[in-house]
Amino acid sequence: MLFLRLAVRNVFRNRMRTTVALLAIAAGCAALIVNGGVIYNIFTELREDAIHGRHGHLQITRAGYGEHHLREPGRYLIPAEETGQILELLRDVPQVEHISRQRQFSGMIASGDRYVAFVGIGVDPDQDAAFSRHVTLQRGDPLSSDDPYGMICGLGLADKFAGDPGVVVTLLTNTDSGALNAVDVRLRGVFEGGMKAFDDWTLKLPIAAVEELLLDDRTEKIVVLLEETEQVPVVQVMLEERFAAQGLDLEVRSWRKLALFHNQTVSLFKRELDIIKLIIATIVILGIANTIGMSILERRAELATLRALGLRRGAIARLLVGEALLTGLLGGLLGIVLGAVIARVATTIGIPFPSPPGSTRPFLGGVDFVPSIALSSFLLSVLSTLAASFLPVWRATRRPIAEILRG
Amino acid sequence: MIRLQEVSRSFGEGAARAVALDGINLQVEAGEFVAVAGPSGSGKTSLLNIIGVLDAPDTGTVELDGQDVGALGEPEQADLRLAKIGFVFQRFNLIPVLSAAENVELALLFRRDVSAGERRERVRTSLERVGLGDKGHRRPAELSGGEQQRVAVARALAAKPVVVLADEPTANLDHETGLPVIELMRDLNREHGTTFLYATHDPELIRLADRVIWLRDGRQVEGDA
Repeated sequence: MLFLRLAVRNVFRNRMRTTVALLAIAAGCAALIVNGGVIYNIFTELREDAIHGRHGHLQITRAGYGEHHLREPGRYLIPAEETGQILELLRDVPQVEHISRQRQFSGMIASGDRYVAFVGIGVDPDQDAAFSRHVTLQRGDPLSSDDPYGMICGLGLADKFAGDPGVVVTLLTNTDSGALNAVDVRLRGVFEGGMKAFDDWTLKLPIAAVEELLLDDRTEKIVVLLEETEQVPVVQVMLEERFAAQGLDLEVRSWRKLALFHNQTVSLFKRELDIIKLIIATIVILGIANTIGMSILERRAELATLRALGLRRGAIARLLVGEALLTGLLGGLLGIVLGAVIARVATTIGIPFPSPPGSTRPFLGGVDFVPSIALSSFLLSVLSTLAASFLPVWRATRRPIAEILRG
Repeated sequence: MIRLQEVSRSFGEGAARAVALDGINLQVEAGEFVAVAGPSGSGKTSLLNIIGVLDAPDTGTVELDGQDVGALGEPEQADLRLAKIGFVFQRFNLIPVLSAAENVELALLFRRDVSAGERRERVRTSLERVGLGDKGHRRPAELSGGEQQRVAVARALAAKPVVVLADEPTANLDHETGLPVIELMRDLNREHGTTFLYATHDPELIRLADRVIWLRDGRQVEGDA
């Protein structure tokens, strides 16, 4: 206890220096927490965008679809009777919140004398809003099951054929057998999807109309949203087992496998976060090493006295490292509080971010206070402070006692 | 109990080389009260440092309580100081953030042969012996110079060492305060048989010693030689 008391009192004997050291550690720790919090916030936005705007939590397709459908699209479609079986099975899963059948197709829009290429997605009109988080309707109305031939399209695509809500156009496409088919549809609304390429080419249509256009009632994919993203692994395994038990030859892919942009962005930012950690740890080590060095230098006679009294070098090192540990712990705790406050304030005010690559919309971000990031920042602060103490401590315990006492 | 044979020590190299001790031979028996006297730079501190295993001689051997200290490694030398040697320094060298009692206790903390209860008892009796039984809670800055040096004596005595080495213990005290410190050491030597070696160049303090080891330019000029 006395040794601990000595360490505590030594830490606080020079209050100004200790305050500066604590602030340096706390600033480093808070910087890590805030930087990690901003990136986590972006990750969350990207993740939710990927899930609720593009991929859903899970996608159910014919086995082999992921790898081969581009080469042989017609071969990897789910027959209507199997689709019904799957939908029935999905409705029995309590975690499943939304289900939408989808079918992608492409063709031309004929509007007056204009012919415009498009990429279409046949969707369940009543479920589409849940899968379109990134989509903002700019004009007109959303899809509706009451309007089986009512479509919506991206802003850029609407501009190409000068389409305003209410206009009737003809969609032309090739069926699976290669025949040309057409259907008249009415433009219900114009959306902005956040990504220019998406807005310039995409339209959405109730899947029943798409089936009529393609003369094919097979489903390309069934997209599922769960109550919580964390439920994905459990439900994925459960569905795979149930499909296998019923002899359905399907593959269930999670959003994580499908969201390539999200995955690439996350790994890029994680690497950036590691570099920031390294830089901040280095700054803390350099700053604190000087403070600890000064503290030890001033107390060299005291430390030599302790050694003269019979304390081994190891005991002196334990005392000094203990003081550094205490400083690191206090600085780290202060850093967590500081980080939490900054995160709170920044989130309340909001951080305006410019449009990310490929997107057309700037967004207002925040700083998430993430316990795991706070803990790792705290540990890194403590370890940096300990690392900073090693050289001064080593020096302090190596010099001959008599030489120090002679002054 | 303390035996030095042909002990020499010098500092620096080449033209800057200064001889601190030159072929010292001496023996101190248990219970002696010995002054190491000589002018400044005569080698008093170097001699006490070598006896106290704070420094090693360039040549010669040092025996303490029958042990050749030169044969010990650094950890064993620390253990030897912890168990057998008490120090009283010129500048008191108390730990400023600890109270008088804590300063005395600190030296005992690492003694495995001293239980917590015995440690507290030794702190109490040591402070009482030096007349500071009621000032154990005070920090060094709250004590006078003489009182601080008494705490240092109590710290040295608490470990029950075979020898207490005091390097100019009154140099930072005025005569009025310094003399009682040496008299206290003298009393403790007589009452408890503790061996004391103290360095001084004050004739009045030298007179209190049973025996005087005179040094001049690192050589023993009178005494055991």
